[in-house]
Amino acid sequence: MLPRPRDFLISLTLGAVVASLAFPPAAAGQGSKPIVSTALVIKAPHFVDNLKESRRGVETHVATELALKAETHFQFLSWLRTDGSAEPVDAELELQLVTEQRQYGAAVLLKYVARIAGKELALPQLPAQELYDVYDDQPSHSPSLLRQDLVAVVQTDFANDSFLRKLHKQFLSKIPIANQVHVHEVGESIVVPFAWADLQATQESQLRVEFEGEGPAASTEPAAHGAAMASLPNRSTGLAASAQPLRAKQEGNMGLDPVGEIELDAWRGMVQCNVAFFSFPPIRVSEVGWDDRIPGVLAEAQSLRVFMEKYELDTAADVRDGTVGEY
Amino acid sequence: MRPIPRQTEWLAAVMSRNSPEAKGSLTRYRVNLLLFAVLTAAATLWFFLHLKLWMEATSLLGGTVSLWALWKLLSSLPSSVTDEAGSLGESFVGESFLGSRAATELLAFLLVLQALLYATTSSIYLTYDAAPGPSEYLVEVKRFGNPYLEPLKIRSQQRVVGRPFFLAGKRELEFRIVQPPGFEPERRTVYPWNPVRLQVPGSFKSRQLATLRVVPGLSLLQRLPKRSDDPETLYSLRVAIGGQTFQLDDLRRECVLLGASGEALEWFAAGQDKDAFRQVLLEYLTRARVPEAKQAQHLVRWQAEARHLATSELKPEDSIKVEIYRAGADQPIASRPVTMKGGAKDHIDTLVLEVD
Repeated sequence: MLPRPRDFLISLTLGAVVASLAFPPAAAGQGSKPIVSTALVIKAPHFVDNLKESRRGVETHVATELALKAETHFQFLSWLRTDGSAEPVDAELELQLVTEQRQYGAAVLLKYVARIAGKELALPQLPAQELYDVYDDQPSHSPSLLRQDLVAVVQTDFANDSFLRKLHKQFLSKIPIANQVHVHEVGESIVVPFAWADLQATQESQLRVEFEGEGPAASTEPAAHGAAMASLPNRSTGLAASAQPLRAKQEGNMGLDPVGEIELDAWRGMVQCNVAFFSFPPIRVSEVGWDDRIPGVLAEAQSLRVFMEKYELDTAADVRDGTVGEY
Repeated sequence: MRPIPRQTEWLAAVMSRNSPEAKGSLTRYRVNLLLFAVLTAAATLWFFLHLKLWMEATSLLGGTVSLWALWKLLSSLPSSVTDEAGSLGESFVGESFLGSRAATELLAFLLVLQALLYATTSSIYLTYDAAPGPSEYLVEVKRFGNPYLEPLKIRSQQRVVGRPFFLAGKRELEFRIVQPPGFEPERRTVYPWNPVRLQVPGSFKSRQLATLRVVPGLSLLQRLPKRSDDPETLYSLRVAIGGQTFQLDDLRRECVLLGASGEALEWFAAGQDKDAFRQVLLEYLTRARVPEAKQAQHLVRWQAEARHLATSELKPEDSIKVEIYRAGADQPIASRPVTMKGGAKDHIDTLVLEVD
């Protein structure tokens, strides 16, 4: 039995497609940066026992340092030190001071823990690093020394390009910065509802869009499959074929090259992007270009999310600490 | 006859060799000489017994005077007197005085005084025993558990210490060598006329002690504050010995010496087992695979001056329990039963204590 035909014409005549998410990120509203909180949690039992009240001071200080350093390198996110308030955040970057029991005592390790929407991510490329070996002079009674050592680790990490790349790849690139896109059909480009001024990215950066849509079912017979391909929207006609074959939910993704701030009044200040690639079988755009079926697919897309796949800080816009990074 | 200076009636009588007064005076002279010799010897002995610190001078002086008296006594024997009766006439005033009744009275009085002195003088003297061993001892003298004398320090170069006591009653005293440790206390009853002599250490029975040095192991070091820290959390060390518990508050990253009195611990701390202790530490660090570069800081910390926890004295085979508590916690973070080993006189058992 063939599926019911879709009316692509309606969506195309709008000139733009707004794809809504089934699971929107908590605070990634249009135009606002996702909020990432930072924290230090001292879990090592002997530090917890000994530091008592001063533990909070160390945690706050290091979390602030972490937020400052992260903000320096990743300005497309809003970094917020966790201050105990119940303010909702989109993601969390947490440093944990933990112990690893060894034969002659406990070594103290420092590990990064990342969460998005409360769900912990695996960070295999950022394993826990040893802060104090068993035989080291562990400052379990000295908050100032501990704070100094932890800040030194944070500063070393964030001065390390390899660390920054790994952090971005395993964590920051998975934080959705938008949950919808607009198709600028005339310009054959995509508009991400995110303030270009907030992105602080060069054109070398790249965004990634993931979504789900209905494509041809795998079980569909060859004839039907061919029909499905024919049924995708086409910009030249602006019409969809009247007969839609079998459609099954499938994942698609799209790479976007940000080119700058769009000047159309409707989306002024937002990020305009070229399509670097598009993959929604059978539609594939492997180089920067355009396919007339893209608006149709995106119009039907569900669970659409935009991520910062590759980030190169635009230091010309806001030079901080003299650092230039590409992550 | 030539004039005799300060001539007395008695001398005049003596000069008449055949007079009965002369013969009587000669006898008195001899008796008085004997009394004088006895008095001098007794005084010398008294000095010897009770003023031992000045013994050499008094022996020399008293001995000389006594010998002089004996010599004069012998020279006044009848043969010489009869042969040389005129010799008295050539003697000096002292000799003439010894032949007088007043001299007899004076000597008798002095002898009574001497007897009283003997009856009422006691003394306590300690003498360094010239045997191989420590060159210095510190001895406490206590009565009813309270100090009776200032602690007496006796050295190889100061071989006698002590003092006399006048008109002191009967006393039960306890003598205890506090440094070096390892000697039983010695009890003596001192009577008012009693000179007490103790050889140090020969008069004291020796005994074997066992002391313990608690070394915080690596896991415990992590818990304890450094000496320079201003910690919010304090730790204490408790030792259960028999039914008694001894506690050391505010324990830091340091060693603790225990198992004896404070003075004994001081002696052990200054002892000669440092090389053996260093060897124990090196073996531990090697077992724990501590890199050589990191070993030095631990050795310095552990070999620094240890805290002392004065406890009852431990002997080999004694069983004790060592525990570390965090302030406010009911359960110890480290607990270890220990059976003391003991060993050579200055040996200290070592316990490297880890967190449970």
